[in-house]
Amino acid sequence: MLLLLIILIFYSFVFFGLGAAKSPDVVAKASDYSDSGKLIALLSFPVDDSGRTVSDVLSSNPKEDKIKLVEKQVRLLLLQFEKPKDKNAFWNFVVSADSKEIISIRESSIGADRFFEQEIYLPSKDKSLFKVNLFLNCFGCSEEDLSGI
Amino acid sequence: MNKKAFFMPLFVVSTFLVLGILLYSISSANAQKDDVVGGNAVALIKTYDEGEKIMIYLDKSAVFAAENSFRLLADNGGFASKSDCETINDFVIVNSCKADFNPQASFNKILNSEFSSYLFLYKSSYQSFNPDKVFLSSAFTFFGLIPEEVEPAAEYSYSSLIEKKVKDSKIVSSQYENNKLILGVSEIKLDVEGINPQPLGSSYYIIKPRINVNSENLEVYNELYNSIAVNCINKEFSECNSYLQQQFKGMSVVRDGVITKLTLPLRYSSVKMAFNSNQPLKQLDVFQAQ
Repeated sequence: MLLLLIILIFYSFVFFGLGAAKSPDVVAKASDYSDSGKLIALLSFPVDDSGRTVSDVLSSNPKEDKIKLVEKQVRLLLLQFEKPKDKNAFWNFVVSADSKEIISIRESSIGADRFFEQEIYLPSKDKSLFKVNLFLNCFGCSEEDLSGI
Repeated sequence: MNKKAFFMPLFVVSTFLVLGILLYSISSANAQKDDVVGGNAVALIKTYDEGEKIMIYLDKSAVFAAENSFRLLADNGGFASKSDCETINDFVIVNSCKADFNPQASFNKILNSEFSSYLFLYKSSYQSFNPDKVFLSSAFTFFGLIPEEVEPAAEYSYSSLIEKKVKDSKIVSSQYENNKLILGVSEIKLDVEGINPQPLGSSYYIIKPRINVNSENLEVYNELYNSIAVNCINKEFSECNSYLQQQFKGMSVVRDGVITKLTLPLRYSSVKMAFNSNQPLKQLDVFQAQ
């Protein structure tokens, strides 16, 4: 009798706990439909009076003061990006060239996961590449939390 | 024989087997399903997204390539390269060049080469769509019950195919309009990634980039060449100097023996040119403004 109970508990766990009996339809998640719209908008944002954009400055091998200017503008823009409500969530922005980070705006909590990863490679005037990453770091975010973003 | 003692273990074993077979049937049927609901829409969105990124990359590359090309053309005295000409202190002596003087053709040649050098670096950040695996599908694949999906080699991956197409693109047209140069780039056909059961390339997205860049007036090269031919070759230096200074604002003229060196600042570059006043200029009657 005990053995039967163990078998039933085991199969109940497999079927219902692990989801073996779930609907066979493999459905794309809401976050799979995301694009790089936020990153592209951010790169196209003007940073100075001459109308130069974030990407224009980054691709012209900028000096320290220009990098600081871009970083300041990007921080302000990141604050305006929507985040899941009542969650520990932060938008992160990282620019790197030759495996060295030029701009690193990172904020995360322990155990947080990355969502909406957006990445682009752009050319520099000196014929090298730099990489720009944007992603949301969120602790305990569910599909429902992310669906509205 | 005690029937009760026999029935119970049989019932337990049967339950175990029946549920096991049920688990196998459901899971193997699920694991073989290759239709991802929304997969094709995701693949299409990703392709459009990649197209946007390519456009930004091409835009930046064209701007840099045009800037570099105007500067190189000015450094080469209106020629595509210095290699066919004699030089003095890095100034091209225009009488000595083997190639015909055609600033527009030279500019196009430099521009294509510069543009290609930026495109050669192109790297795609495309991430293939990987839907969640069905429960136990890895286990069934491991035991050979369902076939393993073969990943293509890196050079045939989807992102490599995109990179190749971008690297192979070229400038196919150039047109001047309101101090701007409008560059047409060859069309780039992006195949939409094949999400089962659709194969790769059953849908595609074509981009035909047209890029506006700041332009220099290349007509000034022809005017300068013409002025040298008419007013400087076999003429007194003073006469040549006064004409050039009058005709071209900001020009500096320096004489070095029989060689005269000119520097003419333009909007984005500075033309450096030299000539031997005792030698004729090539194909004066042939060149014309474009």
